[in-house]
Amino acid sequence: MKCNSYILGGTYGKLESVQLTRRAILKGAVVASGAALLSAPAVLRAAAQDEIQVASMFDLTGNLNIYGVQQMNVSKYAIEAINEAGGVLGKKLVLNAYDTQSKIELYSRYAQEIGTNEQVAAVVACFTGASREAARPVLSRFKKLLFFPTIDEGGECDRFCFMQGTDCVQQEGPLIEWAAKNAGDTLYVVAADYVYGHVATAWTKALAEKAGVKISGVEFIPLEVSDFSSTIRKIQSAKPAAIMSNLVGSNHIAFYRQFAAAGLNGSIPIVSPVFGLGNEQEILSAEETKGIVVSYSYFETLESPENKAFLEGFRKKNADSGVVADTPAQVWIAWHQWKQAVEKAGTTDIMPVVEALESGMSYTGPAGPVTVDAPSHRNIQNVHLAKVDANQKFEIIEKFEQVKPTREVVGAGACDLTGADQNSHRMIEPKF
Amino acid sequence: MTDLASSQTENGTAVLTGNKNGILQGVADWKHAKTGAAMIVTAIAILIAVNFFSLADQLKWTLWVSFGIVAMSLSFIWGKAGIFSFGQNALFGIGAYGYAILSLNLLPYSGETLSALVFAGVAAAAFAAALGYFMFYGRVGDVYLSVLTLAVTLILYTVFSSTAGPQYRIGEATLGGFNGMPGLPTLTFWIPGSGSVQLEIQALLIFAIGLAAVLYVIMSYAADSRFGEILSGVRDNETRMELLGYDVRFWKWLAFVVGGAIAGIGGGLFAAWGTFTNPSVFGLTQAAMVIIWVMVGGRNSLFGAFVGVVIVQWIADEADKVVSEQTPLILGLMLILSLFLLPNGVVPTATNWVRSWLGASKGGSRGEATQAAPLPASEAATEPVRRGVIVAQNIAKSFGGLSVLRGVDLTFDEAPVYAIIGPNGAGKSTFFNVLTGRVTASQGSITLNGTDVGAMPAFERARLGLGIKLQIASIFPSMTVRQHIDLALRARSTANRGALIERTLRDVDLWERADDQASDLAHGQQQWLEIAMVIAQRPSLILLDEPAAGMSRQEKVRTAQLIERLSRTHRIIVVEHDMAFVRSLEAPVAMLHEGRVFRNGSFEAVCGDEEVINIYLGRRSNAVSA
Amino acid sequence: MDSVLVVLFSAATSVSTLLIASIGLAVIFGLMRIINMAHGEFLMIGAFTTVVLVRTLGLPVLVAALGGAVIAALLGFVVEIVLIRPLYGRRLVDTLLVTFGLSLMLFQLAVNIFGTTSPGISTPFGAVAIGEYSVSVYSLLLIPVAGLLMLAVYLVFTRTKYGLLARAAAQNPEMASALGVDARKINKLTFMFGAALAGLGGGLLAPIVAVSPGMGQSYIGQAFMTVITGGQAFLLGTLASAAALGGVQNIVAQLVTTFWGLAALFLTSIIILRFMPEGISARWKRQL
Repeated sequence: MKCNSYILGGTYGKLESVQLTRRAILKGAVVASGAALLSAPAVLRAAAQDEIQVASMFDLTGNLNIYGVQQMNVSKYAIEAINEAGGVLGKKLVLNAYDTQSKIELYSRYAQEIGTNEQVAAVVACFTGASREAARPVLSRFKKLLFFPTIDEGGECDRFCFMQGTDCVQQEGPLIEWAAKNAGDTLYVVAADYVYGHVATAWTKALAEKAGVKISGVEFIPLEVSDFSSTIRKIQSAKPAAIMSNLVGSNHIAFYRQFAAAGLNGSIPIVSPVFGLGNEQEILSAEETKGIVVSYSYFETLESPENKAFLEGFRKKNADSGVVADTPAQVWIAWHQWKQAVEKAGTTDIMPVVEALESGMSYTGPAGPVTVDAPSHRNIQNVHLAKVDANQKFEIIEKFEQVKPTREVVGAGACDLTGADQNSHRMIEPKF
Repeated sequence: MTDLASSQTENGTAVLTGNKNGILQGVADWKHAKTGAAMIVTAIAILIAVNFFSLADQLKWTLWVSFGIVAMSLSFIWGKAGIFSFGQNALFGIGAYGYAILSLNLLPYSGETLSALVFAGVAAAAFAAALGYFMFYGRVGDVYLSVLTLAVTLILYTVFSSTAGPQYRIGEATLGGFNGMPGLPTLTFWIPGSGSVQLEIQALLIFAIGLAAVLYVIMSYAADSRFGEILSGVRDNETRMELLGYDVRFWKWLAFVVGGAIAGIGGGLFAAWGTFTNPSVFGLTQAAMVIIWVMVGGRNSLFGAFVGVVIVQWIADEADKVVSEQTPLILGLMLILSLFLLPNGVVPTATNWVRSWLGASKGGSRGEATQAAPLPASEAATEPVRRGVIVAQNIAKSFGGLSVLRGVDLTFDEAPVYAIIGPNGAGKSTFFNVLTGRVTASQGSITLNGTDVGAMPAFERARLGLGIKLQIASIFPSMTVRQHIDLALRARSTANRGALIERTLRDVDLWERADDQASDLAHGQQQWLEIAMVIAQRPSLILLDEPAAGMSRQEKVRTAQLIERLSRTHRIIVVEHDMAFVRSLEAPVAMLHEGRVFRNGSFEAVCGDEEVINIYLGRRSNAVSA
Repeated sequence: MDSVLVVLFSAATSVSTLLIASIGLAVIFGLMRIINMAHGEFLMIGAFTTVVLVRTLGLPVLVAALGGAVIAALLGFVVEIVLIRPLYGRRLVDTLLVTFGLSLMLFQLAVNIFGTTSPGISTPFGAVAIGEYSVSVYSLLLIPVAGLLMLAVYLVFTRTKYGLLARAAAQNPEMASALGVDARKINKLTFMFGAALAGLGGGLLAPIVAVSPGMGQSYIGQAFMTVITGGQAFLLGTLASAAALGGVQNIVAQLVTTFWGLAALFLTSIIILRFMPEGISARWKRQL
């Protein structure tokens, strides 16, 4: 039976089998040489004696770039600032900036690339917990230090990973207390339907109970939903005193809009540990966001000499990049905490740096002083409550000094990276 | 080897056993072995080259290989079987999750994850089987199929994104919702004596290349085998395949399942490479990427699938270095440009250039068996007379509110040839379709050789001995004349088959064109080719719908001669418009008018009838007495 | 009593939203058999146009939405000539892919022009009390607006010359061209009309969601489901499937949770397609 040469897209005559063999070899040669060409060893910067390589992975394109662009801006700014001040251990820092295009598999892939690049000393990367979980196990395996700048729900228990953002207890505690004092003792929870949303809600329940606040309802919203009419109706049925919002992503911004459209934002205040991460207060109108209460470590409106210097320098290089939210500020803090630790350890080797970080040094940055809490690898940092004012800016209403992070993982014990977990490289699964 | 003479009753099973024989044929075929050896040589060359890659590049290439595998699966089902699935990435994703779930659970016990890789393929194949059943046996049309597969992948995205929570777990594996499942074990083998061996970066790449090569060889065999031929037929002309007696639903389903298994294995490799998986693999972007890879590389080429992956991914990675942060723009532009400039993809276009350079002719050379002089039609003295009987009783058919057939009673059991005529709107075509099974009658019964076939679809009637030729020449443009008859002979008897092909082609005077592509034939010859396909099925009854349509006078004469020849051994029913042609058939004529049989008798009797003439000239517009 | 009323209104709003988001896709798919993967981006462009018009010129939302329709139609005009027309007669997948490439480019262009975070417009007309509940007036307004939109499209396709010619050309292209119908001009108008409907839809939806370059992505999935479940009759079929899918989704979300509402929507769609593989309206006589 004639070989219908499907492979090369046509029908042949009798000489087919010989041609096919020749073609197969030709193909193989093309593949091999093409592969070699395309994989010409990446131009590795000469292992210059006076340089230290570092890396960042952020989403500069794609849906998540509303967070990633500013993070990368600050990352570059921080490296430049450090270099202008003399570098680290007298050497200049070189930043390898990766655009992960909002694609999770790129986090995994670039993490592998970074991991196999022996010269990279530290990484500040990721926005979502999902991307962190794609990168962290890989970086850990290759013994690369990772600083994660975003607020998160806890559970990380990795000796080579440091969490910059505030955790649920640091944020939600003050928020729930504020709600209890200023609104009433019932709380309705709306949260994004993924791990962060569920864990944050578990913490909400625990903290609310402690504060004597009753949960009048919980609603989880899938990430791609932007129609909140049924949720708003249920909220009205439940008649809570305040709403705790852990909604995430551009689709969920519609909640605040539709909530205000239903005329409810005057009567039921909203508290949120995530609102503002993507500058939602500027996307929505002043009317819609007035009065929303949030809690973070960093706000642009903080008054301190460190913040003033930070913002001035940043605006000189990034004049119209918009408001600096908490997460990008944590990128700056991360780089500087790392720099401090390297200078204390006298080397960029990972274990000495880790130990230096754990040794209780304090760094005072634009958000105030931060110190690593060794067992949890989280920062003891200031937490501020702020309210969105009529100009869509955050007005600080209360300051909590040096709030300790939790070491607990909700429903699953604790992580002690200087004790039982000193060789651990895992994520503890929360139970909720 | 099934004997041709007895294949009539075994037509149903002959198809399946035939397929098995075909693949075994291929294995034993020396030609394929030579190709296989060449593949191994090139694979070794690649493996040597791999040593010169940096670690980062080795990682990159492993990822590209996993992408290439799923692209190849789409290239197979789309290029070969004509199934455009927008959701091939869904099967890739199921493979990834399958690997994740099984490896997390099994690794502590089995010390290896190869089983998880196999499971990835199996899980994806199972899902493809269920989805395929739904789509192909539900007769979902082409356009809807592509959108349906897209919808499926979006649904899976939503479902998997919402599995955040400790209750969503399978054994040790928590699904993790939007965050996905991190910390998967990489590919691990269990070697007796050494225990568990994890594949490190270079080893994983070598394994991946080897895996891709093996899958590629398997797919090539499948594409070149009888299975591939059947799929080509389904792709080129689904109707014709049905009328040849193939259950096209089954073959498309099978192709889809095979494609699913391959995609699943690619997904498993992807999960092992990244040591994680998450729902974004089901997303719209990933769905489109698979298509872009195949489009750029060339959907008619298994190898092109890999080329497409390399080109697109390389550009996507490099784009950022050229114009920062504009990757979607560049990707979109690239896609549009490739659609306009290289519509067939890179590999087929490049191959055509190479071929035209080398001056290779397209299928011009003839096989050894052809001789120059056409022989007169053989008497076929040993051919048994096989005249089937078909009876239509009280056939009525309405479409919506319009009743087209209003009680047609016709019995075809005596004369060797029958003709059905009637003016436009009489219901000829509808009646034809009711006889063949393409349309189900609203009322009445059709009995074929004693069996009630009213409820049977066309392909089952074909297997019972009903040969059907539609009005428009329904052939496979990309296949040779010889392949057409081969396809029509559903039984697999190599010894007899060659001779049978020759005899059949001689019967229609196409033997000297046996190795020409069907698209190169003249219109009339294409009609004869189709008739030859019908004859090759050994039918007892042949239905011809307007066989003289579009033919020159000379071609019509030869067609009438052909029908006369065939009528010596078969019964033939012809639906026709052309009166001169009908006269030359010398057959009894049934005239339909307004959905009923108006006159029935010899040609002279019917066509001399004044009322009949009036109807044709449009003078009588009232309903006639039955 | 008032809670039942509010639930029903909420369901009607969901159906209207789905309808408004899908009708543009339905027209193009139903008449030209083209899957316009950039439909979401036309929606987004209409939304951004509306936002700009409201913020800079202070136009009322409904008027500004018409502006969104016009801009989208102009874009549709260009796209049809440059990208769609050269591909007529080619495989279905070619136009699908070219529009997908277009959607990538439009998304990035929107990001370049408007940035990643840009202010939108808030919902006008305030809220009204229904019993103990407070409901957004605009969300109620969308119900009659969607109805008017359907009526307008129906009138265009049954009463105007263009509409009749378009339907004829769709059902029997050879016959239509034999009758002297300029298929190219008709197709251009159809594509522009579909794009205009998408732009208008985006403009109408802008006040209730956050307008961002990626907003098109979130509507395309549901629009697809609605259109293919609707079937051949692009107007009445889409209406029927929007009612079925949107209604089911909303009611289930009210009774259980939002996730189950989404799941119910997909399930309903699958069940419908299982028994009516060519869509709800496949066997209808009126193929409109």
